This record gives sequence, structure tokens and C-alpha cells, in this order.
Amino acid sequence: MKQYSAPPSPPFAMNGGHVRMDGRDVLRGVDLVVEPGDLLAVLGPNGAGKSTLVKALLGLLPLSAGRTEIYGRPPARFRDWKRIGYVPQRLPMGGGVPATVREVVASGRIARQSRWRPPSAADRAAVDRAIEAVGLSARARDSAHLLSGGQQQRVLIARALAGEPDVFVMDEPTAGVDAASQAALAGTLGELAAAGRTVVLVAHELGPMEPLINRTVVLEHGRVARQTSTAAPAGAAAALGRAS
Amino acid sequence: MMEMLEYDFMRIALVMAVLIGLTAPAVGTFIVQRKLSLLGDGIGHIALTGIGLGLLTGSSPILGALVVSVLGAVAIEVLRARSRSGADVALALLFYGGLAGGVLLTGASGGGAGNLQSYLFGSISSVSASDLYVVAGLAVAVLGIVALFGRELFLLCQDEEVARAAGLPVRFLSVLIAATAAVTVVIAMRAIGLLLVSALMIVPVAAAQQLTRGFRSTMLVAMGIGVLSAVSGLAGSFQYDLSPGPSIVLLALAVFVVAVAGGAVLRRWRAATAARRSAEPGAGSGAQAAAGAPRTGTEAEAEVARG
Repeated sequence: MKQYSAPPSPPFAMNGGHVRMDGRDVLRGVDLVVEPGDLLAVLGPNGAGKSTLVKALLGLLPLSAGRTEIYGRPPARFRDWKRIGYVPQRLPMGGGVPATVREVVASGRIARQSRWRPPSAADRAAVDRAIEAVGLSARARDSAHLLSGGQQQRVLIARALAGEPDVFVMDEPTAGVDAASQAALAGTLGELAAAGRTVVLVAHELGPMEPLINRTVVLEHGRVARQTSTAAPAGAAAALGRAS
Repeated sequence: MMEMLEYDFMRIALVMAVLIGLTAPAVGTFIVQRKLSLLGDGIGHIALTGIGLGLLTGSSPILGALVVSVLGAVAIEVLRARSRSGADVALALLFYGGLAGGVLLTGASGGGAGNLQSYLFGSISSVSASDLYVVAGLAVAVLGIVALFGRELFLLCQDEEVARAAGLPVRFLSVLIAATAAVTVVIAMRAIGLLLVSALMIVPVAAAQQLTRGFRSTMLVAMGIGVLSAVSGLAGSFQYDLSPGPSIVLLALAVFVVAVAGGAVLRRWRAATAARRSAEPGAGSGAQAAAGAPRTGTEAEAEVARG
């Protein structure tokens, strides 16, 4: 199947993506290609389908029409999940069994671990780095559910960081987050951009992240209403040949 | 008190109590986090049909219970995955069918009400050495699954979508945890009875989470509470001539009440330590506080472990 002349597949490519939920069309024919090195913000009003779009990109919601690919494969046949880091909107409470910050963050390594081997020194070091990157080292042994909303969001980002993926998909990382956590998030994004990582994030407003974002997609009523693309920030060298 | 060790059946029963006390809360921690606290109850109902089948066909009731309850658990998981709304009624139908089928089949096999009651509420004195070997084998299997799949099950129980986006086999893991719960029900049914079996999966976990801050520590503390209540409940029931199953469950509930009170005190103490910590100069931002603070956390954890 592999052809040496073919260009590498982009992280995400959706063509005519259509999602129906509870008898309502939430996404209506979305075309979107996310190139390596993109820092793409999905914007739009409430109910425009922003979260639905990122979940459909990951294959968490099935398409009722159209197709979508992760690195050139449909989500059901994609295997290289260690390249993907998903940051959901919130940390679910579940049945209320506590979990420490470290336990939650360490679970982000799972796609890189073998069931048959205990965590390696590299695993532990990656978890330490991720917790430190979001400034929660002092809270590593505390119960994640007892932290503030902004700190919980940082825990979720640290979980994705721990997996050292190529692509981050963040669903409203700034919703209900205090200014300090927003600034911390912007700092983390800047480092990811400098390292050439790809980021897709859903947001209401960009705030301190704005200068880092190099592409925006505005959704309205399940359709792409506007797309903008600015000059790539430092580090996004892979932006060569990007469709504007 | 030590005279109970002179009886063969009590020695067998005590070993069994330890195995139940270890396995039920270990599986229960995942079950509680997945909000399936009543799953064990449902499986218990379904297992009764397996016992009836085993008695009727003259094969082993434990084997019948094992096969039918694992199949039932898989069916429950499939129903849950199919539709969240319809699953509720479908589950109820499965449970009632299991209970009614069990009572009917046990009756048809000539087993009287006494036989039925021994499975519903447990009858530790009827446990034989060969039962113990089966239970020990199953307990090893359950603890092995928890050890091997624990990390994956943890993420599954935290957030199913994140688990899927990490490439985990979510459907397989969901069936695995349900089937493991079914095996645990079979492990515990002889001693505690099918109607009370799931109490030992849930109550120790509910008690432990009052005191702990982590998932692993919750599981370990719950296993400790499980062994403590199973062994002392059994010993107490022997001493005072009470039914073992209810004694064990009531003891676990007593531990829960104590843990709720203890947890309130513990949280206040932790809050006070945290306040003192943040009052120290230079501890404002998380990154700066990184160096000095973890010590207090460790001490608190040790406090919990010492009980």
C-alpha cells in the first residue's frame, strides 16, 4: 500500500463530515484538513458543533455521511493512537473514587505502555515533566477532583502531555478557567508550537492564546462559516505548502 | 475464640473469607467508579439460574453459576452499550428472569427451600475443601486480571472517550470488567449469599474513599477493610451463633460509618495543613511550591495507611 512518492498524510482530514445526534444535524458537511504544525482554533457560538467536530475527527462520534481520516486512515482502522493526545472538556466525577493528580496524568502514557510490563523510568520521567509543565508538582499527590476547575483542566492537559503525542486535541481548555491557568495554558501552547506539535483546540474566545494560533475555523449551525490563516509562528516549519 | 480453628469447615471458611475480602473490593473499586454499583446485585440474581441448572443437571452448582453469571454479565454489558435508555428496562427483565428461573429450577431439582436459602444468604458450614480450591483458583484469576489490566481499566473507568482516543479496546475491557465482577459474585456466593454478595464489592470501597486521595490507595484500603470485615464477621458469627453473611455485611457497614466520621476529621486536618502550607512565603504559584510541599502529602497518606 505504501508509496514512497506519496506525501505523508495530514493528522486530520475530514471531507463532507456530517453528524446526526438525536434527530438533529449537528455537523452539516464540514471539510477540514489539519496540517502538521497547525495551531488551529475551532471557534463559534454555543451549539455550533465545535465539540462535535473534534470528537468526530477522533472517531468518538460516528459520521452519518462523509469521511474523516487520522493520518490517512479512518478512525476505526487507525492504530497509532500514541500520536494523539485528547484533552476532554472536564474530568468526570464517575462514582467518586478519588484519583491523585499523578495517577490521572500517568494514565496518559497508556498508549505507549505494554500491559505486560510495569511503568519504565522513561514513563515516570515523562509523567513528572508533564506535571511540572502545568505547574502542579506540589499537588501531585492530592486528589484531582478536589482541585479548582482551572487546575483540573491543567491535570487533563498534563495527561495528554505525558503521552508525548504529535497532535493535541483540546475541547474547550479555557472554559471556566481562571486567568492564572489561562496564562499557564498559553505558555504550554507556546512550547508545543515551538516543538512543532499540532494542536486543534475548541474555544469561545482565545484570550492570551491568540498570538499563538495560526489558523481559525469558525463554525455556525454545523457549517464552516469562516476560515482564517495567518503567518506561521516560530517553529512551525512544517507549514510549507499548507493550503491557505 | 481459637477453638474455631479446630473445625475443618471453619479453617476452610476463614481462608475463603480472606479470598473474598481481597477480591470483592478490588473489583468493586472499578465497579463503583464506573457507576455500576448495582451490577453485582443483578449478576447475583442471574447466577441463581445457573445454580438451578447445575442442581437440575446433577453437575456442579458453582460451575453452573459461573457459566450463567459470566454470560449474564456479558449480556448486560452488550445491552448497556447498545442503548443507554432501553438498557434500564432490559436489565430489570434479565434480573427478574434470573431470579425466577433460579427459584423454579432449584425447586424442580428437588432442592427444598433450605437449599435455596443457603445460596441466597450463604451457608459457610456447607463449604467443602474442593469448593475452596475452585474459589482459590477463581480468586487468583480475578486478582491477576486486576493486576494485568488495572491501568487500562483505570482509564476506562475515568473517561471512556479518552480511553477510546488512547486506542484502548474499550468494548473488550467493558466486558472484561463485567465478567470479572461475575466471577467475584461466584467466589463470594457460598459464604455471603447471592443477595448480599455485592455489598462486599461496594461497601468497603465506599468506606475507603472517605479516607483516601488516590485510586490505588482506595483499592488497597478497601481490600484491607474487606478482609477485616470478612474474617471478623465470620469469627463473630461462629462465636455468637449468627449467620455469617449478614454479620460480615453489617460489620462492613459499621466500618463505613466510622470511615465517614473519620474522613470528615481527616479532611479538616488536611485543609488546615494546606492552608498553613500556602501561608508560607513564596508558596503562591504551584511551580514555586513544588520543592517543599510533597512531604505533608506523604505524611497524610501514611496516616491513612496506618488507619
